Amino acid sequence: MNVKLFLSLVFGLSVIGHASAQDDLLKELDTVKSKKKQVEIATFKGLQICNMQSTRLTSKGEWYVLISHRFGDLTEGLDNFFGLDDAYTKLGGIYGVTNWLSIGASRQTNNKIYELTTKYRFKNQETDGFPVTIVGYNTMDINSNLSTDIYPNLEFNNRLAYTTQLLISRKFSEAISLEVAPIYIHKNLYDQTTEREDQLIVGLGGRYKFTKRLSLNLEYAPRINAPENTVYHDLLSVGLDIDTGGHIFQLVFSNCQTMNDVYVFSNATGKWNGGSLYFGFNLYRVF
Amino acid sequence: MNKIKIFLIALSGVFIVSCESNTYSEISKQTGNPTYVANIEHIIEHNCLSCHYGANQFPNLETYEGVKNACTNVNLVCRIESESCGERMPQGGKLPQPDIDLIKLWVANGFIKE
Repeated sequence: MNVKLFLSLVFGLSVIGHASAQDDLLKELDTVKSKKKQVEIATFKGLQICNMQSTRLTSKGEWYVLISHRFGDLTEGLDNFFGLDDAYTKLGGIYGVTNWLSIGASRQTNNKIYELTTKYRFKNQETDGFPVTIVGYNTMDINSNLSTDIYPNLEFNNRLAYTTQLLISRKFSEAISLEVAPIYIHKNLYDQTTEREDQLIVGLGGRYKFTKRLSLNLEYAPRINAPENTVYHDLLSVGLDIDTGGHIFQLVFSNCQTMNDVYVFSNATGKWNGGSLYFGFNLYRVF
Repeated sequence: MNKIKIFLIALSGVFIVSCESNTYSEISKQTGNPTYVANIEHIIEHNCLSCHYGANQFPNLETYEGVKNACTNVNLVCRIESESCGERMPQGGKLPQPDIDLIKLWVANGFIKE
């Protein structure tokens, strides 16, 4: 009898002890959680807003294949089948070296430009913590269309052009995220009648999420010191993100047909009020 | 800290290779007497032929006759020089000014072939 009583007492105590230990563990979990601030995720769905980069990066070890098209002048109507006759294509790949660093390479039709990119995150936006996400982005263009037949004094150096970008974004709510990006462009070869060797730009972008799988994107990038006799215009694009599960499909309407960042921000040929407009899409597939 | 290092390396890399810029006129052929074979054909080949070949896109600019015809009967010069005759050509951006000047000079001199 005594043995039974003793055993049940031990069992009862151990259960209570176990339960309280569980309490302690839960408490510990709570304290751990409150110490480490939670990172805000999905500020933007795509790696791009429309033409400009978003603050989103690939994850470590992820391969992305990028396929972009920009069709010809939409405003010409049936003459060129709303631009479908004169398409530009960009093909490329992006690899996540770590969670905060990715590298990429691509080639586009116009001027047969190869573009090398690096994207790296300095800081993440945190819930009740750091207010913004800060990402650095660099691109280097190699223009392979330039020829010594036309330019006898051409050197390899002249084929290169660069952008350096600081992307700062904040997710204000589930639906609204905004981004501001100071951008510096340097060209090793430029037309002094219409371009500058060094060009500063302020990129502004945002997205509004309608539903889980659909969002509206907008970007505008005024040039700070555009030359007076420039024939180019400030970038203005509107787009739609469609999340199909496996990949993000972005529809883009823009006044820029080219897809390398140097041209996007400083050589946009179209104009929203009475000029050329271009339709296209970006497609990212992860492997 | 690593991230800041990479950023600084990337930034300094940009400044190292980008210190020297040229304008198109500095690296262009300077001539007062441009010919189709020596000058114009190359400009057309690198900027126009990706669309203006065969029957793909009017006008065909593959030959001397085609280019001459586009300058006299179609508004080639106006299309590369301004937006007053339609979308500026080539699509994607304006030709460098020295190239436009060379084509205009070639037209003014009477389409010299060789």
